[in-house]
Parts: sequence; structure tokens; C-alpha cells
Amino acid sequence: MKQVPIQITTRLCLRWTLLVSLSAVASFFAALLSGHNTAAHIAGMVAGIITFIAIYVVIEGWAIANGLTEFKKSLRVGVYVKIGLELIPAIEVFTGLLTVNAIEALHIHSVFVATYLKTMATGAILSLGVGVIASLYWYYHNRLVRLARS
Amino acid sequence: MGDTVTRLWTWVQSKLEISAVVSILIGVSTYVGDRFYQAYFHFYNIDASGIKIPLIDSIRTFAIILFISVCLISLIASAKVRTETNFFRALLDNVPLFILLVFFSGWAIGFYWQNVNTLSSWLAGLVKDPQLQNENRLLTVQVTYFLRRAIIIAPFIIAGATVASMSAFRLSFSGYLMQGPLRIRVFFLALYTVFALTMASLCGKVFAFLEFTGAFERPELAITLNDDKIFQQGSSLYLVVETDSALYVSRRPVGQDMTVRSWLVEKSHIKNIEYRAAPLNPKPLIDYLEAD
Repeated sequence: MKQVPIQITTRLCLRWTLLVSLSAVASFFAALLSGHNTAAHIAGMVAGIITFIAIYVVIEGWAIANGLTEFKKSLRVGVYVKIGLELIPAIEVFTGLLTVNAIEALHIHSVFVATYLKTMATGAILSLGVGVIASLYWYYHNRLVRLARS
Repeated sequence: MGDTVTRLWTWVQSKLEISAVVSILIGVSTYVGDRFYQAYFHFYNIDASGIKIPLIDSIRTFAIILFISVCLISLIASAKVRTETNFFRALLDNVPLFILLVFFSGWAIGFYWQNVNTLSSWLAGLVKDPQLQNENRLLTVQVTYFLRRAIIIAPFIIAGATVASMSAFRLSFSGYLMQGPLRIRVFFLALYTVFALTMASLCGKVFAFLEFTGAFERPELAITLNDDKIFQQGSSLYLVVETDSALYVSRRPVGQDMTVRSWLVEKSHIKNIEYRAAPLNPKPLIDYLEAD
């Protein structure tokens, strides 16, 4: 199988910076208001957000390099859904509670590392949920296209 | 004959989009005023079905909304004929986007706020531990305190930053709308309609709230009834609306009591009405925003 190099452009980085920041803004402010507002907390959350930006940039870069237009589209649909879901705080609160309890059970002393892991775990669970929605979109979109062609 | 019909049909098609837009705008402008007054009366718990809005007020609301809408449409339409764009031109072209974003951000924060309250009351019923209940109450107060400020400031910051960034890159929202397919313009118009109606309700509530807190000058009423008793003596009453047969009055907040109370007073029961200049509101408006 031929290896295709991942294409990463400034435009791609800017787009995902905007989309990931938008999808994290409500959780970020909610965390600040609930007492996670020291420099270490903020640095941990920002590092988590930057990691997600990097992950999404690499995934879309890989999709572009391999010509997976539909996958790229569903990835974006997933993030749009995630941005929309931010307006329902219950989702973020319960995901947050789940990850906070799990990370606190590890007894990590560094505030930065603990916050970073909490951000990553919350983001991962929500991304998983959104991934399911995006996959459903991909599946039904492909089925509709096939139906229209036949 | 066939040629004339074809030419007529082509002309109708070319004018169809603009005619549809104008019709929708006129409809929206009429309905927006209605939504404003519904929300205004709802704030005072008054049944608005029997109240006739003075014609001049209806015309004024209609004219304001129609004027704003026509300005926006003209701004968008003028982007079609332009070939070069500079920062200021792009800024002007992005005014419709600014308004749409202000509406949208305001709506999003309001919706979030509503969900926070729902979640909080749900948690209050679910959690039995007094410490957790207290934490839930405290967090809700902190979040709503933040949202109170955010709903006023954030829409303008978000819309301003977006429009300024887009204009710096000479990206024109109006140009995008006009060059894109019809469905994008229809989508924008639908969004504008929905948000204009939502904002009309919000404006009605805000207007009533400001009136209630005494931010607007409203003369105080002293109503003497037929049995020589003063109606709601000791309360600072003001007129909300007058119909042919009755007066709807409300009272200003008393100390920390912010409960909105309104009364319908039949004109046939009134002996005399005395209008007095309203006392100056000693409490700054920001205190109401901070109060919880």
C-alpha cells in the first residue's frame, strides 16, 4: 500500500483552531467559573485544546491526502454538531463529572497534568459521541447518494 | 404573442426573488411589532388579546423594522455590482453579518442560560446531599451572574471581532451571498426572520423590565375609586396600557421585592385619577443586574 504524505496547510490549522476553540468555549468558561481558574488550570486546559487542534488537523490532512472527501465532510459535520451541543450544558456537566471522578481517582499531584488529562478525557468522550453522529451522517449520506444514482 | 408571453415570464422571474423578499419583509415587520407587544404584556402578566395597540405605535414599530430590513437588503444587493473591495467597503458589506451575529449570539447565550436554569432545578431535585445542593446553588448563581453580563456584551464583541477580522482579509459577506446560489440567500433571509422575531420578544421583555425598574420616566398614578378609597395606597403605581373600558396598572419594585404585579381597574369604578411626576429612581440599573 502506497504511503501518501499528510498535507497540512496554514488554512487547515486556522480552520481547526477556530472550530475546536468554538467547540470548547462554553466548557472553558464553565470550568473557569467553577473554580478551575489558576494559571496551572488554564495552562492545562489550553494545552488540551491545542492537542485536539493538532489531532483534528492531522486527521483532516490525512483525509485530504487520501482523497476521502466524504470523511472530511463528516468530520466537519461532527464538529458543528459538537459546537451546537455546547448550548446544552447538561451534556458537558455529566461528561465532566465522569472524567473528573476518574482522573481524581488516579491521585495526580500536578494540577497542570490533572487538568490536561481531564480536558483530554472530556474531549475524547464527547468526540466519540460526535464521531458516532458523524459516522451516521456519512453512512446515510452515502446511501442517499447511491439511491439517487440508481 | 408567444414572444410577448416569454418576455413577460422572463421579467416576472427576474423580479420574483425581489418581490418575494419585499413581501416577506413587510410581513415580518408587521409581525415583529406584534411579538414585541405580546412579550411586553406577558412581562406584566396581562392578557393582550383584548388590547388594541394604538395605530401610531404599530406604524412606528413597522416603519423602524422595515427601514432596518431595507437598509440591510440594499447593502447586500449593492455588493453584486462591485468588483474591487477595500477594508472599509468590506466592513460596510459585513454589516448584515454583524446584525445576524448579534442576534445569533444573543439567542445562543439566552438559550444556554435557560438550559443552565433547567439543569440547576433538575439537579436540585435529584441531589439529596445538602453540601452538593449548596454547591449546585452557588455554581448556578455564579454562572447566571456571568451570563447576565455576557448577554449584553458578548454578542457585540463576537460580532465585532468576526466582522473586523473578515474585513481585514477583505472578505465580503454580502458579496458571498450575492454570488452564491439562491438557496444561500433564502437561508439568510430565513435566519434573519427567525432572529428578528426572537429579538422582538426579547426587546419587549427588556423594555418592560426597564419601565418596571424606573429607567424610563412614567408618571405615578393615584387612583381614587368610587367608594373614595385610594387604589393600592402606598404603592408606586404607573400606567401600563389604557383600553376603552379599563386601565392596566403596575407597581414599581418595593425594596428587594421584584415581583411584578399588575391590576386591571375598570374605568366605571374610578372616581378620579391623579398623575404625579415619578420620583427619581435611587437604585442604579446595574444593581438590578447584579441582584440575585
